[in-house]
Amino acid sequence: MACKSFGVQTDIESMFLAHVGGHSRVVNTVYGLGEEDTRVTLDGGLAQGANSSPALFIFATTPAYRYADENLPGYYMLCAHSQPPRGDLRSYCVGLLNYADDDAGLNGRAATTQEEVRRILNETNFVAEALTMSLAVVGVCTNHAKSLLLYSPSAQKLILFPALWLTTLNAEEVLMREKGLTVTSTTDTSGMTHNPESSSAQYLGAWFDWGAPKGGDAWAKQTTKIWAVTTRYGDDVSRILPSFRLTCMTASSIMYQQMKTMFTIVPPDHSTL
Amino acid sequence: MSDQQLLPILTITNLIFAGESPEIIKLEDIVPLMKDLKLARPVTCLDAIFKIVDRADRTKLTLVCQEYGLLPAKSFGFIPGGSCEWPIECVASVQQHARQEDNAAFMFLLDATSAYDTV
Repeated sequence: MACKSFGVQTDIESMFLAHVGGHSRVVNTVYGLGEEDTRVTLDGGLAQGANSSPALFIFATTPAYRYADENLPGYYMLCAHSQPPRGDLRSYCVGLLNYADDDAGLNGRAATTQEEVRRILNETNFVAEALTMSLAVVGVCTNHAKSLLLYSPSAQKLILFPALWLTTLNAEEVLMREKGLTVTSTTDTSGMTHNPESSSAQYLGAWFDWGAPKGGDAWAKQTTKIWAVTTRYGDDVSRILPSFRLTCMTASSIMYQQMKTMFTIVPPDHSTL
Repeated sequence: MSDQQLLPILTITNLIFAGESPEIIKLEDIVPLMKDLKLARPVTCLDAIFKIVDRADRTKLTLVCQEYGLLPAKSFGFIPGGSCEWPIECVASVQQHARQEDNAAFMFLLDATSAYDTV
Protein backbone atom coordinates (compact mmCIF):
# COMPACT_ATOMS: atom_id res chain seq x y z
CA MET A 1 0.00 0.00 0.00
CA ALA A 2 2.86 2.37 0.91
CA CYS A 3 4.57 1.62 -2.42
CA LYS A 4 1.38 2.48 -4.31
CA SER A 5 0.72 5.68 -2.34
CA PHE A 6 4.29 6.87 -2.95
CA GLY A 7 4.19 5.95 -6.64
CA VAL A 8 6.91 3.29 -6.45
CA GLN A 9 7.31 1.51 -9.78
CA THR A 10 5.95 -2.03 -9.90
CA ASP A 11 9.32 -3.68 -10.73
CA ILE A 12 10.93 -1.99 -7.70
CA GLU A 13 7.93 -2.92 -5.57
CA SER A 14 8.27 -6.59 -6.54
CA MET A 15 12.02 -6.45 -5.73
CA PHE A 16 11.15 -5.04 -2.31
CA LEU A 17 8.64 -7.80 -1.66
CA ALA A 18 11.10 -10.47 -2.80
CA HIS A 19 13.70 -9.01 -0.45
CA VAL A 20 11.49 -8.78 2.63
CA GLY A 21 9.43 -11.92 2.06
CA GLY A 22 10.17 -15.62 2.06
CA HIS A 23 11.97 -15.80 5.39
CA SER A 24 11.89 -19.01 7.38
CA ARG A 25 12.66 -19.59 11.04
CA VAL A 26 14.32 -22.36 13.01
CA VAL A 27 13.91 -22.33 16.78
CA ASN A 28 16.95 -23.27 18.86
CA THR A 29 16.34 -24.15 22.49
CA VAL A 30 18.51 -25.01 25.47
CA TYR A 31 17.97 -28.67 24.57
CA GLY A 32 19.57 -28.40 21.17
CA LEU A 33 19.82 -26.68 17.82
CA GLY A 34 16.74 -26.69 15.61
CA GLU A 35 16.81 -28.90 12.52
CA GLU A 36 16.40 -27.26 9.12
CA ASP A 37 13.53 -29.59 8.23
CA THR A 38 11.57 -28.16 11.20
CA ARG A 39 11.74 -24.63 9.86
CA VAL A 40 8.62 -22.55 9.42
CA THR A 41 8.23 -20.29 6.38
CA LEU A 42 6.62 -16.97 7.18
CA ASP A 43 3.61 -15.87 5.15
CA GLY A 44 4.23 -12.17 5.66
CA GLY A 45 5.86 -9.59 7.84
CA LEU A 46 9.38 -8.25 8.03
CA ALA A 47 12.45 -10.16 9.09
CA GLN A 48 13.05 -9.94 12.84
CA GLY A 49 16.52 -8.57 13.54
CA ALA A 50 17.07 -7.22 10.01
CA ASN A 51 18.50 -3.72 9.72
CA SER A 52 15.91 -2.61 7.22
CA SER A 53 12.83 -3.82 9.12
CA PRO A 54 12.28 -0.67 11.26
CA ALA A 55 12.79 1.59 8.21
CA LEU A 56 10.41 -0.51 6.09
CA PHE A 57 7.88 -0.53 8.93
CA ILE A 58 7.99 3.29 9.06
CA PHE A 59 7.72 3.42 5.24
CA ALA A 60 4.66 1.11 5.26
CA THR A 61 2.89 3.00 8.02
CA THR A 62 3.69 6.57 6.89
CA PRO A 63 0.26 7.16 5.21
CA ALA A 64 -1.44 6.24 8.51
CA TYR A 65 0.76 8.66 10.51
CA ARG A 66 0.27 11.46 8.02
CA TYR A 67 -3.52 11.12 8.14
CA ALA A 68 -3.58 11.03 11.96
CA ASP A 69 -1.08 13.88 12.38
CA GLU A 70 -3.06 16.19 10.09
CA ASN A 71 -6.10 15.78 12.32
CA LEU A 72 -4.35 16.33 15.66
CA PRO A 73 -4.39 19.98 16.85
CA GLY A 74 -1.43 19.24 19.14
CA TYR A 75 0.04 21.21 22.00
CA TYR A 76 1.50 24.67 21.25
CA MET A 77 4.38 26.13 23.23
CA LEU A 78 6.45 29.24 22.79
CA CYS A 79 9.89 28.44 21.49
CA ALA A 80 12.40 29.48 24.13
CA HIS A 81 15.53 28.23 22.39
CA SER A 82 15.43 30.13 19.09
CA GLN A 83 15.80 33.85 18.57
CA PRO A 84 12.36 35.24 17.73
CA PRO A 85 12.25 36.58 14.17
CA ARG A 86 11.26 40.28 13.90
CA GLY A 87 10.64 40.51 17.64
CA ASP A 88 7.62 38.16 17.77
CA LEU A 89 7.76 34.95 19.73
CA ARG A 90 7.67 31.78 17.64
CA SER A 91 5.55 28.88 18.76
CA TYR A 92 6.00 25.22 17.99
CA CYS A 93 3.56 22.39 18.11
CA VAL A 94 4.06 18.91 19.53
CA GLY A 95 1.54 16.45 18.11
CA LEU A 96 2.16 12.91 17.03
CA LEU A 97 5.56 11.41 17.87
CA ASN A 98 6.83 8.11 16.53
CA TYR A 99 9.80 5.90 17.33
CA ALA A 100 9.64 2.80 15.08
CA ASP A 101 6.57 0.90 16.40
CA ASP A 102 5.96 3.17 19.41
CA ASP A 103 3.56 6.12 19.07
CA ALA A 104 2.67 8.99 21.33
CA GLY A 105 0.15 11.75 20.66
CA LEU A 106 -0.15 15.02 22.60
CA ASN A 107 -3.03 17.47 22.54
CA GLY A 108 -4.05 20.31 24.84
CA ARG A 109 -4.53 24.01 25.57
CA ALA A 110 -5.96 26.33 28.19
CA ALA A 111 -9.40 25.15 29.28
CA THR A 112 -11.54 26.18 32.21
CA THR A 113 -14.79 24.27 31.76
CA GLN A 114 -15.64 20.61 31.62
CA GLU A 115 -16.98 21.01 28.06
CA GLU A 116 -13.68 22.45 26.82
CA VAL A 117 -11.68 19.62 28.43
CA ARG A 118 -14.08 17.05 27.00
CA ARG A 119 -13.63 18.60 23.54
CA ILE A 120 -9.82 18.19 23.86
CA LEU A 121 -10.34 14.60 24.98
CA ASN A 122 -12.63 13.89 22.01
CA GLU A 123 -10.08 15.36 19.57
CA THR A 124 -7.35 13.20 21.13
CA ASN A 125 -9.52 10.08 21.05
CA PHE A 126 -10.53 10.71 17.43
CA VAL A 127 -6.88 10.89 16.31
CA ALA A 128 -5.79 7.88 18.39
CA GLU A 129 -8.61 5.85 16.87
CA ALA A 130 -7.89 7.18 13.37
CA LEU A 131 -4.29 6.05 13.79
CA THR A 132 -5.13 2.57 15.07
CA MET A 133 -7.70 2.06 12.30
CA SER A 134 -5.29 3.27 9.61
CA LEU A 135 -2.61 0.97 11.04
CA ALA A 136 -5.13 -1.89 10.99
CA VAL A 137 -5.49 -1.36 7.23
CA VAL A 138 -1.81 -2.29 6.77
CA GLY A 139 -2.17 -5.17 9.26
CA VAL A 140 -0.74 -3.69 12.47
CA CYS A 141 -2.44 -4.97 15.64
CA THR A 142 -2.66 -2.83 18.79
CA ASN A 143 -2.76 -4.09 22.35
CA HIS A 144 -5.69 -2.32 24.07
CA ALA A 145 -4.53 -3.22 27.56
CA LYS A 146 -1.11 -1.67 27.00
CA SER A 147 -2.31 1.46 25.19
CA LEU A 148 -2.32 4.28 27.72
CA LEU A 149 -4.14 7.59 28.20
CA LEU A 150 -2.49 10.16 30.47
CA TYR A 151 -3.84 13.57 31.39
CA SER A 152 -2.61 16.71 33.09
CA PRO A 153 -3.57 17.67 36.66
CA SER A 154 -5.67 20.54 35.25
CA ALA A 155 -7.73 18.11 33.13
CA GLN A 156 -7.88 15.71 36.07
CA LYS A 157 -9.67 18.39 38.11
CA LEU A 158 -12.47 18.67 35.53
CA ILE A 159 -12.86 15.11 34.25
CA LEU A 160 -12.48 12.28 36.71
CA PHE A 161 -12.52 9.16 34.55
CA PRO A 162 -11.69 9.90 30.89
CA ALA A 163 -11.52 6.91 28.57
CA LEU A 164 -9.63 6.19 25.36
CA TRP A 165 -11.72 4.11 22.96
CA LEU A 166 -9.78 2.36 20.22
CA THR A 167 -11.04 0.44 17.21
CA THR A 168 -8.23 -1.79 16.11
CA LEU A 169 -7.08 -5.30 15.32
CA ASN A 170 -6.42 -7.20 18.53
CA ALA A 171 -3.78 -9.92 18.97
CA GLU A 172 -6.11 -12.46 17.26
CA GLU A 173 -6.42 -10.05 14.29
CA VAL A 174 -10.11 -9.36 15.02
CA LEU A 175 -11.34 -5.79 14.61
CA MET A 176 -12.53 -4.71 18.08
CA ARG A 177 -13.54 -1.47 19.80
CA GLU A 178 -12.32 -1.51 23.37
CA LYS A 179 -11.12 0.88 26.05
CA GLY A 180 -7.44 1.58 26.53
CA LEU A 181 -5.90 1.94 29.96
CA THR A 182 -6.28 5.30 31.71
CA VAL A 183 -3.48 6.11 34.11
CA THR A 184 -3.54 8.94 36.64
CA SER A 185 -0.77 11.13 37.98
CA THR A 186 0.31 10.74 41.58
CA THR A 187 -1.11 14.18 42.44
CA ASP A 188 -4.41 13.86 44.20
CA THR A 189 -6.07 16.98 42.77
CA SER A 190 -9.64 15.76 42.94
CA GLY A 191 -9.65 14.93 46.62
CA MET A 192 -10.27 11.26 45.89
CA THR A 193 -7.85 8.67 47.18
CA HIS A 194 -5.13 8.04 44.68
CA ASN A 195 -4.85 4.47 43.47
CA PRO A 196 -1.16 3.57 43.13
CA GLU A 197 -2.03 0.61 40.85
CA SER A 198 -3.29 2.94 38.10
CA SER A 199 -0.51 5.48 38.57
CA SER A 200 1.44 6.62 35.54
CA ALA A 201 4.63 6.22 37.61
CA GLN A 202 3.79 2.51 37.83
CA TYR A 203 3.70 2.15 34.02
CA LEU A 204 6.09 4.79 32.69
CA GLY A 205 8.43 5.52 35.57
CA ALA A 206 8.60 8.53 37.82
CA TRP A 207 9.78 11.07 35.25
CA PHE A 208 6.60 10.83 33.16
CA ASP A 209 4.31 11.33 36.13
CA TRP A 210 2.33 14.40 35.09
CA GLY A 211 1.55 15.55 38.63
CA ALA A 212 5.10 15.51 39.97
CA PRO A 213 7.06 17.22 41.37
CA LYS A 214 4.34 19.42 42.96
CA GLY A 215 2.06 16.88 44.53
CA GLY A 216 3.35 13.38 44.09
CA ASP A 217 6.28 11.75 45.76
CA ALA A 218 7.35 9.76 42.66
CA TRP A 219 10.09 12.23 41.68
CA ALA A 220 11.34 12.53 45.26
CA LYS A 221 11.63 8.74 45.55
CA GLN A 222 13.42 8.46 42.21
CA THR A 223 15.80 11.32 43.02
CA THR A 224 16.70 9.60 46.30
CA LYS A 225 17.41 6.43 44.32
CA ILE A 226 19.64 8.32 41.87
CA TRP A 227 21.51 9.96 44.75
CA ALA A 228 22.09 6.49 46.25
CA VAL A 229 23.50 5.27 42.90
CA THR A 230 25.83 8.29 42.67
CA THR A 231 27.00 7.97 46.26
CA ARG A 232 27.64 4.25 45.82
CA TYR A 233 29.60 4.95 42.64
CA GLY A 234 31.71 7.56 44.46
CA ASP A 235 32.33 5.19 47.37
CA ASP A 236 33.29 2.29 45.06
CA VAL A 237 35.67 4.43 43.01
CA SER A 238 37.41 5.84 46.09
CA ARG A 239 37.67 2.36 47.64
CA ILE A 240 38.93 0.47 44.58
CA LEU A 241 40.82 3.35 42.93
CA PRO A 242 40.65 1.86 39.42
CA SER A 243 43.68 2.79 37.38
CA PHE A 244 42.29 1.72 34.00
CA ARG A 245 40.74 4.45 31.90
CA LEU A 246 38.41 1.91 30.27
CA THR A 247 37.10 0.71 33.64
CA CYS A 248 36.37 4.27 34.74
CA MET A 249 34.68 5.10 31.43
CA THR A 250 32.51 1.96 31.58
CA ALA A 251 31.46 2.61 35.18
CA SER A 252 30.64 6.26 34.39
CA SER A 253 28.65 5.23 31.30
CA ILE A 254 26.56 2.76 33.31
CA MET A 255 25.87 5.45 35.89
CA TYR A 256 24.97 7.97 33.16
CA GLN A 257 22.53 5.50 31.57
CA GLN A 258 20.68 5.33 34.89
CA MET A 259 20.50 9.13 35.17
CA LYS A 260 19.98 10.04 31.49
CA THR A 261 16.19 10.28 31.53
CA MET A 262 16.31 12.47 34.64
CA PHE A 263 18.76 14.85 32.95
CA THR A 264 16.51 15.02 29.85
CA ILE A 265 13.48 15.95 31.95
CA VAL A 266 14.94 18.00 34.80
CA PRO A 267 18.11 19.99 34.12
CA PRO A 268 20.59 19.09 36.89
CA ASP A 269 21.16 21.73 39.55
CA HIS A 270 24.58 22.73 40.91
CA SER A 271 24.65 20.19 43.74
CA THR A 272 23.70 17.31 41.38
CA LEU A 273 26.46 18.29 38.96
CA MET B 1 40.40 -12.00 2.28
CA SER B 2 41.65 -12.26 -1.26
CA ASP B 3 39.60 -11.26 -4.30
CA GLN B 4 39.23 -14.90 -5.21
CA GLN B 5 37.80 -15.68 -1.79
CA LEU B 6 35.46 -12.71 -2.00
CA LEU B 7 34.06 -13.67 -5.43
CA PRO B 8 31.35 -16.07 -4.11
CA ILE B 9 30.28 -13.44 -1.58
CA LEU B 10 30.03 -10.86 -4.38
CA THR B 11 27.74 -13.21 -6.31
CA ILE B 12 25.46 -13.65 -3.27
CA THR B 13 25.53 -9.91 -2.59
CA ASN B 14 24.48 -9.10 -6.15
CA LEU B 15 21.68 -11.66 -5.95
CA ILE B 16 20.34 -10.03 -2.77
CA PHE B 17 20.53 -6.54 -4.33
CA ALA B 18 18.61 -7.90 -7.34
CA GLY B 19 15.87 -9.19 -5.00
CA GLU B 20 16.74 -12.84 -5.62
CA SER B 21 18.15 -13.90 -2.26
CA PRO B 22 19.06 -17.59 -2.00
CA GLU B 23 16.72 -19.44 0.37
CA ILE B 24 19.48 -20.34 2.81
CA ILE B 25 20.32 -16.66 3.31
CA LYS B 26 16.81 -16.03 4.57
CA LEU B 27 16.94 -18.70 7.27
CA GLU B 28 16.53 -17.11 10.69
CA ASP B 29 17.78 -18.79 13.87
CA ILE B 30 15.75 -18.00 16.95
CA VAL B 31 17.72 -18.33 20.18
CA PRO B 32 16.52 -17.61 23.71
CA LEU B 33 18.14 -14.75 25.62
CA MET B 34 17.43 -15.22 29.31
CA LYS B 35 15.92 -12.15 31.00
CA ASP B 36 16.01 -13.85 34.40
CA LEU B 37 15.69 -17.41 35.71
CA LYS B 38 12.13 -17.80 34.41
CA LEU B 39 11.67 -15.53 31.38
CA ALA B 40 13.45 -15.62 28.04
CA ARG B 41 13.38 -13.16 25.14
CA PRO B 42 13.54 -14.73 21.66
CA VAL B 43 16.35 -13.19 19.62
CA THR B 44 16.50 -13.75 15.86
CA CYS B 45 19.93 -14.21 14.31
CA LEU B 46 20.19 -13.61 10.57
CA ASP B 47 22.89 -14.50 8.09
CA ALA B 48 25.85 -12.10 8.31
CA ILE B 49 25.99 -11.40 4.54
CA PHE B 50 22.24 -10.69 4.45
CA LYS B 51 22.60 -8.28 7.38
CA ILE B 52 25.45 -6.36 5.72
CA VAL B 53 23.59 -6.00 2.41
CA ASP B 54 20.38 -5.20 4.25
CA ARG B 55 22.15 -2.42 6.14
CA ALA B 56 23.29 -0.87 2.84
CA ASP B 57 19.72 -1.17 1.51
CA ARG B 58 18.30 0.52 4.59
CA THR B 59 20.76 3.42 4.41
CA LYS B 60 19.89 4.05 0.74
CA LEU B 61 16.14 3.76 1.36
CA THR B 62 16.06 6.12 4.34
CA LEU B 63 18.27 8.70 2.64
CA VAL B 64 16.04 8.75 -0.45
CA CYS B 65 12.87 8.87 1.68
CA GLN B 66 14.28 11.73 3.79
CA GLU B 67 15.47 13.67 0.73
CA TYR B 68 12.02 13.58 -0.85
CA GLY B 69 10.12 14.07 2.45
CA LEU B 70 8.45 10.65 2.32
CA LEU B 71 8.87 9.91 6.02
CA PRO B 72 6.81 11.53 8.78
CA ALA B 73 8.59 14.63 10.13
CA LYS B 74 8.13 13.53 13.72
CA SER B 75 9.48 10.02 13.27
CA PHE B 76 12.66 9.63 15.31
CA GLY B 77 13.58 5.94 15.22
CA PHE B 78 16.08 4.25 12.90
CA ILE B 79 16.52 7.19 10.54
CA PRO B 80 19.66 9.28 9.96
CA GLY B 81 19.89 11.87 12.76
CA GLY B 82 17.16 10.14 14.79
CA SER B 83 17.38 9.58 18.53
CA CYS B 84 15.04 8.56 21.34
CA GLU B 85 16.09 11.62 23.35
CA TRP B 86 14.16 14.06 21.11
CA PRO B 87 10.69 12.53 21.65
CA ILE B 88 11.42 12.13 25.38
CA GLU B 89 12.31 15.82 25.58
CA CYS B 90 9.18 16.80 23.61
CA VAL B 91 6.92 14.82 25.95
CA ALA B 92 8.71 16.15 29.05
CA SER B 93 8.46 19.77 27.77
CA VAL B 94 4.71 19.45 27.15
CA GLN B 95 4.18 17.90 30.58
CA GLN B 96 6.19 20.65 32.27
CA HIS B 97 4.44 23.42 30.27
CA ALA B 98 0.95 22.05 31.01
CA ARG B 99 1.87 21.83 34.70
CA GLN B 100 3.21 25.38 34.85
CA GLU B 101 0.43 27.01 32.80
CA ASP B 102 -2.32 24.85 34.32
CA ASN B 103 -3.41 23.76 30.83
CA ALA B 104 -5.61 20.79 30.08
CA ALA B 105 -3.68 18.24 28.08
CA PHE B 106 -3.98 14.59 27.11
CA MET B 107 -1.40 12.11 25.87
CA PHE B 108 -1.97 8.68 24.37
CA LEU B 109 0.63 5.97 23.99
CA LEU B 110 -0.08 3.07 21.63
CA ASP B 111 1.41 -0.38 21.90
CA ALA B 112 1.67 -2.36 18.65
CA THR B 113 1.58 -6.15 18.93
CA SER B 114 4.29 -8.05 17.01
CA ALA B 115 4.57 -5.01 14.74
CA TYR B 116 7.16 -6.34 12.29
CA ASP B 117 5.37 -9.68 11.86
CA THR B 118 2.11 -8.09 10.77
CA VAL B 119 3.08 -5.47 8.16
